[in-house]
Amino acid sequence: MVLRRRAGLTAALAALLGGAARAHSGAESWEQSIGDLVVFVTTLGLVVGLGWQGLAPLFRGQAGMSPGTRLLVAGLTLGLLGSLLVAVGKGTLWKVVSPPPPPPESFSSRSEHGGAVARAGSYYVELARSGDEFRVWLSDELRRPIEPAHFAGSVQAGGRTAPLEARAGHRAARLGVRPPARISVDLQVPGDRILLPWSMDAAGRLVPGER
Amino acid sequence: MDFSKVMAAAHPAVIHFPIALLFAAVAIDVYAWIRKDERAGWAGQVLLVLGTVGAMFSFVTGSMAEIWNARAYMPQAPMDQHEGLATLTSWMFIALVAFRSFLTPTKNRGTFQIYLLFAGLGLMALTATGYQGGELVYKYAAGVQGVKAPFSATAQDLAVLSQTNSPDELKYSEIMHHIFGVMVLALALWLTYQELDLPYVDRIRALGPVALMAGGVFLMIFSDFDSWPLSDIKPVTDREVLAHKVIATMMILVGMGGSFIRKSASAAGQVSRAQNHLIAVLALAGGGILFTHVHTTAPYGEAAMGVYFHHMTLGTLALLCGAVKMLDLSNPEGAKLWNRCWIVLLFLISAALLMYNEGVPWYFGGGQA
Repeated sequence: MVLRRRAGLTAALAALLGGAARAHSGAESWEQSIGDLVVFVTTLGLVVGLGWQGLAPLFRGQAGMSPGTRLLVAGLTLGLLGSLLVAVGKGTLWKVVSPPPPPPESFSSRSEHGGAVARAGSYYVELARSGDEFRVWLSDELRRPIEPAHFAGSVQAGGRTAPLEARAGHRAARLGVRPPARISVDLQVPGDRILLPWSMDAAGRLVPGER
Repeated sequence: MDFSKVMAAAHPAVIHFPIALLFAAVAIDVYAWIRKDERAGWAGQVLLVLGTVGAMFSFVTGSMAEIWNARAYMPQAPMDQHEGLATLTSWMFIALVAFRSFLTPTKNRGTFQIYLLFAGLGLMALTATGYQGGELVYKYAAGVQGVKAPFSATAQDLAVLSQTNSPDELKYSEIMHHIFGVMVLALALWLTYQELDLPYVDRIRALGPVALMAGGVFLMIFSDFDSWPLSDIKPVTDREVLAHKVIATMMILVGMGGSFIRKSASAAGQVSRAQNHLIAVLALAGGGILFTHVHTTAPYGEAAMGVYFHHMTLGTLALLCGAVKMLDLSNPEGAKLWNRCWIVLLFLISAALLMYNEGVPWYFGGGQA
């Protein structure tokens, strides 16, 4: 009995230490670490508890179990389901109680398709030119791409307008424009409209805003 | 006919069943506890099981509704919150069904009080989930036809809508399901061999637990495309990965337990009542995992929809497995029939796994078989 207790204590301590190290290694905050730790310890407790104490007597076919054993079985089963609850619910619980992640502080104007990048609210718009064709990529504030099926729009320059047509991952419009020129990109996203002015210098380079 | 739309439209109708059944179940259990009434306790338990199964089916119809509302550019944050509460509520009641199955209101008076306390908390979570679901309709016009939605998807929502699974991920998932289809088929054949009492049955019997443990270890290592290395946070925090790891743990433990039978001369080959009870509880938990499974990458894509359909089929079969074991417990005279039902269900599960693809299954009108 004493040996069992010591083994149990050692296992619990090892789980706690291992879990703490494991949980904090990649977590974003101490609260999340604690959540991860709970998941880790409960899951480990499930493995150790069920494997060590629960299943062995059960599978020996002791049909007439004493009330104490039945309670133990009930407790272990609860432990199993409790850990499932924690494992499955933790992510969602965390989502429910935590505020949405703040948008990145810095303006990430890095071009991903060789064009010029402008920010409009929580959207990033990248405009690139290849000959007569203007290409538009849209992304969110984390720079995750938005498929062309979810937005529409047009490019305007020199009093002419060309609708943006869907291509793989972006939209494109053909509009013959000689540099320097002012270009306007008009995008319709669900519930919103983005109107961005661009300048094309004499060398044909695109720059966000009016110059 | 697009079954996903039918299921999405059914969500507001289906959710009333678990709400009514679970409130009634707890009310009847309170009565059974106060009056020490075994019959009322039986009714409470049956209603609790039916309500929880209803909650699982409501969950999967809700997942379909979520996909179609997200595609109609409804904001995803309130839907995510509703889904989070629904997951929590479902698992509270799955745990309560398991706990309650070991109790009677007359013999376990003290423990029954604890159950009633948690059942009260479960009802509070259910109320909050229902209230929030109502808000999705009244405030965000979820699923309301012919009106302009008052709120629209954000940039982040559109980015999530744009996500797709890579062909490698889809292929990996399909292969994993097919491997498990073969394993379940082997398990079903193994049980059939014993049922028919063919030659060398004793030796064959020893293979089952070993195969189950091997399957658990395999799943623990290869469960998900991106679940390794362990130095990454995803294996411990991603719900999908965790669910697979829990299933792997269950398989290893049940396999270990099966081996104990072999070592115990007094009970070789005997399946105890407690084991049946445990398997029923595990089948319920397995069904719960399948029904409340959330596709975390590309959650509104076609693959997600297909996964929900396939998992609903597998979850239903898992619940039926649990029901068979419970019937075996309550009516041991029909053990032979229940054993055969159990084998048939395993064959059906293996067929469902072998036909698994990352699209809508053919029997729900999908293009691929």
